[in-house]
Amino acid sequence: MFELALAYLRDRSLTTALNILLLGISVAMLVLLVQFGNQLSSRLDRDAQGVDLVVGAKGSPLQLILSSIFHIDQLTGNIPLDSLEMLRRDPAVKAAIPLALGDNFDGYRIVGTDESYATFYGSEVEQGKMFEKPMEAVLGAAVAKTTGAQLGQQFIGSHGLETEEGDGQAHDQTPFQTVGILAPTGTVVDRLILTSVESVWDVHGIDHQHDHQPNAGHDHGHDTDDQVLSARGELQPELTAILVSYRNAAGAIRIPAMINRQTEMQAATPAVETARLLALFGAGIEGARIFAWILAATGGLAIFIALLNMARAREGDLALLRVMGASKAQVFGTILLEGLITAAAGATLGIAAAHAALFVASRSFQTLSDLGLSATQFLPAELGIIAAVLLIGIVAALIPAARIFRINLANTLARTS
Amino acid sequence: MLLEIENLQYNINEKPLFSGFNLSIEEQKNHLLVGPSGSGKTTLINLICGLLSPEKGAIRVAGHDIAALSESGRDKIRREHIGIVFQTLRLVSALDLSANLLLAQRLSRGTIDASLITSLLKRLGIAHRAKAKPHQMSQGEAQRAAIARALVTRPRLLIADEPTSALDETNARQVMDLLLECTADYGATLLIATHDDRLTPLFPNRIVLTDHMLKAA
Repeated sequence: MFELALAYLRDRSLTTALNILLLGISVAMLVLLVQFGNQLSSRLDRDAQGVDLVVGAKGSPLQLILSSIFHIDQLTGNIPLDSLEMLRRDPAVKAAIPLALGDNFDGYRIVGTDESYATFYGSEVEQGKMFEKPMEAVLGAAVAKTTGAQLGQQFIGSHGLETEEGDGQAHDQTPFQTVGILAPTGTVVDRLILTSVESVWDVHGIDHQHDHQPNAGHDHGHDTDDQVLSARGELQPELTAILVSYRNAAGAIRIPAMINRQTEMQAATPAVETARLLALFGAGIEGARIFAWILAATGGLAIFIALLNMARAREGDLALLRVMGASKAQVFGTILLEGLITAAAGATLGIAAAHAALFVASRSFQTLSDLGLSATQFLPAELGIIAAVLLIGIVAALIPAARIFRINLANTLARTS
Repeated sequence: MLLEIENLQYNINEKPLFSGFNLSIEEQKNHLLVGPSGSGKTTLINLICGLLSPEKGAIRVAGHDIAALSESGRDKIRREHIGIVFQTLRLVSALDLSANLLLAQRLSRGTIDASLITSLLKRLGIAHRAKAKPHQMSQGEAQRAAIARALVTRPRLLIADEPTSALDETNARQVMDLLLECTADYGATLLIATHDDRLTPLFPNRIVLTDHMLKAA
């Protein structure tokens, strides 16, 4: 009977194709929403894990979080170098990791920091070694894979956060040397190039010899306007942000308040900002989700109408099947199968289209790529969507299929034969 | 006895169409069921096939009283013993000819006999139309296809309701010849309900329905 159901669907191929398309669009929308919401949420959680506070220049706290933890937004500005020591001296601070940002290589951000940054994300050196001297760089796993860079290779950073053709701001005089490649972590580190803070200062011609302390981060310069000039007119070492993790709960109460009130810096809490971000996205996602389910219901209605019309037009056929020996249950099952097959095809199309769209989008849009959006990740929620759509197909076919129980064979045959 | 009807009572709108009706057909004895419109030919066929239930009486097909069975029991008798050819309702519209025959075999026997399908299509001269959909066939081809569909399950009783009424002289003659030859070849017994006088000379055994009374000619 499966082949018969397929044959009937093929027999009205245009209607079948349109119904499949309608369901496919709704499934694709639902899958995209689930994927985007889930991947965004888990990505944000993973990247922000362990970071209790981000200290940076005044501005939007969300922008500070996005630029310093997720590396997907413009920087807020610079902060004084001594703020790092101030935080490290605080007994409530377990770790304070300096960040000096502002340049990129081939679209991948160059992060001036210290060894603790990689350790913080559980990242290990897979090939080579961790950077030690200025201008030594360690590549994240995704960076190495995409650029094909090998140990010992040199590269030149460009000013800004993305590579733009003809920007003319490459730091030709200060090439980096690749000394290590990190193992994949599934975090933001995979898409970063790590180097020392001093390297970033060197690239921008900032003298730091007398300022710099071992293992401590310093300033970098990105926009000249943001740099602090010394009395002699020289650029002073600064940092872009500091990632902080608390030693105890007291830090969460005292440190942000102290930073925000007593300094020219701001303290942003990743948990608060990512929750705010997800809430902003959430409203839009919820609206789109409702729309997609309405679309799925419309698909179900289209199947219902098509099958109802078919059951009416095909009464003679159904009666003939009964005369040929098919039981009522078999004929009922055939019509039900038509609904189910249509829904299954719609679900398959939708899932495939959604993952194809994720694949294309993650390669076409830098921000989505930076978010680490994966096209090959399948979520349990997708099974739920498939089950719901199959149910829609079955429900839509129930009433048309039930007509078989009302057909008076003798009357139908008299009318049609 | 292949078909035995005893004391059949069947009413339409509470008026008796058949009352105390009796009939018996032996294996391999083809019969023509004739009578004017409204005499009850199609109703009698529907009763024999188990598509209608009588008020009273027994209708035994291959020894099974189809009138006394449940709907699923009647389906089973029809599936196993009866093949039916209608005037215009010939094949399942969405399937091509060979798929129709395969489906008929699957529904009837649960198995497929591809060699029987091939030989029947050749015998009926429509082997070249095996992949044609019903709407792509001519009237004559479609009626031969309906015969193939009915015979492919190797029924003991082949019932045809007005099989030639929609056909021209040549096609009607061809179809009747094939029906008679094929039923003989495949060991079936033919019962044809018709008001087509062209068929009368071909059948020595006739059942004439007049005023719902059986007249054996």
